[in-house]
Amino acid sequence: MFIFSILSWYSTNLLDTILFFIILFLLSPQFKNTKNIYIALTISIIFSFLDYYLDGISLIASFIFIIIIRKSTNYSWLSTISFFILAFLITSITQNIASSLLIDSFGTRNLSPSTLSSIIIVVINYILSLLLAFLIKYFFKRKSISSFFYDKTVRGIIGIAIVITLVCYLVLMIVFNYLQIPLSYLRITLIISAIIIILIGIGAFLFISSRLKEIKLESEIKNLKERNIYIKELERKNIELRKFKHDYKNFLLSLSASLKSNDIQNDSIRELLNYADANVGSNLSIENASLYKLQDSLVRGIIITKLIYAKNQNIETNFEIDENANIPQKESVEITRILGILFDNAIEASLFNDYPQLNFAIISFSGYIELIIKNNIKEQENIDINKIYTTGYTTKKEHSGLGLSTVREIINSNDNLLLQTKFKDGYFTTILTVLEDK
Amino acid sequence: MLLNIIICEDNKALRTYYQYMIKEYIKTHPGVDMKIILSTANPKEVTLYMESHPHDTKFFLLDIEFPESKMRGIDLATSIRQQDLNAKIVFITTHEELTPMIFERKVEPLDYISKEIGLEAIKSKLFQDLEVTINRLVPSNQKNKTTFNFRIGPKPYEFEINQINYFESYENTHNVFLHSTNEIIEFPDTLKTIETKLPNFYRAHKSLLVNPDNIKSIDSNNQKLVFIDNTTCDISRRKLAILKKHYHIAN
Repeated sequence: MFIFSILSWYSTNLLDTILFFIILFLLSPQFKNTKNIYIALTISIIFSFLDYYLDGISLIASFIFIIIIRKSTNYSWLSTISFFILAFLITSITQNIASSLLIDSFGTRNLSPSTLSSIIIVVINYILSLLLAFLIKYFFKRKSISSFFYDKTVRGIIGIAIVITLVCYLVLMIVFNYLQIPLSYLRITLIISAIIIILIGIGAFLFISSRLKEIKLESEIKNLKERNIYIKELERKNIELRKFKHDYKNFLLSLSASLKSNDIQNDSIRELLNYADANVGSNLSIENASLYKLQDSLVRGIIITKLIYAKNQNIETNFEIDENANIPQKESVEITRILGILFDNAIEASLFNDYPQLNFAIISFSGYIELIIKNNIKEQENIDINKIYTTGYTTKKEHSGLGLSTVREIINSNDNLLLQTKFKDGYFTTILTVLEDK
Repeated sequence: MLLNIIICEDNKALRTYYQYMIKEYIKTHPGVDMKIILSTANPKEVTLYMESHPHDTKFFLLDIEFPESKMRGIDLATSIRQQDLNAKIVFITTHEELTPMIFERKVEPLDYISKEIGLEAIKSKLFQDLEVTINRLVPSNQKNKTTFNFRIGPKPYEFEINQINYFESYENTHNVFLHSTNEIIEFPDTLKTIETKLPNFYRAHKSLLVNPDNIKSIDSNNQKLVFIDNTTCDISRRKLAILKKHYHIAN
């Protein structure tokens, strides 16, 4: 009988621990790979057992786990711990809800630690936790929220809110255990924790919304700057055009004068042709007009910023935007991050040349678009192309070499983004293909 | 083999001039079998010709902007390329319409001629392009290289197998990276299906499919595979030992 009760206790404990890891992997798929799943299983099996003798050892276990699996991701400590706490809170709160539901329906007296009640608790626990996890996941997946996740402040606020919630929750639990308040008051603890969570949630929401307003303001200022640059470009072209018109009229006048004077040599015609050869065409269109037509403001912003930066560095630039190029909104944040890194690398690499060149194009095809960045590289530079995406590999002095490995990570987390890298005839080309959803 | 030349240019004076230039080339090269089969201002006529003569050998001289027609030159060229992979296309256009990278990816044209360079220069560039076209006419069919075919989205790609060093995959993605001397290409596929397509390749481990013909040496000290072109690829010590046993490559 004793062994049986240990076995039942052990299996429920094990199932709870496993649930914790299921929720964790659900919340952040980046953790989920075969190795981590094995580690999680081993830890669950060993530490659920040890937990029987040493209460609280599972806490140490999860710390070990955090340290082990953080290596396989690019998460910061704060995000990793946040995910852990979130998973812990979800499983722990649902466990309490499950117990309190059981107490409500059977009453405390009749409740013996039987196998049946443990099974019911585990089942309810699983259902509620998974439901909650899916709800949270769905909530974060919505476009408007996930795009702000790249902002450090927003992530910080969420992380801190989660940590505070955990602290409050733990304090509440410890106080309840310490005062030996009977199980029937479990519902009150739950209500108190619900109130705490709601209050902290409101606080976090207020902080985040004020931060979002700030972000919006920043992007509006940026848009304004872009527009000013465009207007300046227009003005410059207008002045050039006026000058050209003026010259042209003068030539026509001298042409008619020479016709009247029957000048057979026709010097003025030749002069006119020479002038036209030199001036017509090359500079008279608005440069990159289609760039300003690009709908996606994030992507347009990064392109214009880097174009201006490159021009200020005296890099010869050629930017081509296909007229019907359409950036899928879902990928816009990721594309912007990738472009930022690729542009920085291309500009930096091209500057080693006497005549640096930077070419960029967005090309639309049916079903996909291509974004191409091409720069010239220093002759005789020997790059092992297989290495460039490895963390820490760099051809530049005093450079971390982190950029391209970040690009690789973003690419690997989204199947619609594909990367091609080419290194040929003194040019380095990267092509980012963005597939449209089928 | 008859080379059919198609001209599409909306300016009549220029079109006549191109015709005159090409006729001059034909006259001075009597041994070459070619003729101007179509010279028009209307891109629609070009598409009609494409549909009715799919198997002809063609050389296109195309303007980019046709104000009279709804069709843009780049769209015309793209549809030509989709129908005929071997068609030779030369763009003749003004500088501001010139977007070489877009042309390159969509059309892979033989050349671009900028109208600003003057009629004499246009003529000499056009003659060069015709020369290149004629030289390429004959041997193209006799090339028989073994290629690996794949797709990125709807676009088909071809890659010579002996240029491939290895394929690499990552956990949690549905894409594979092809590594060659100077190119890395990512495309949607799995190592498993590639393995069946290329039975000669060796699955070094779960995420690596190597072309054994291109391995130069195995560097046990640094745990690396060195390929003929001197690029390298990291590999774990255990896998290295297995690979060595498998291939008996002298170190």
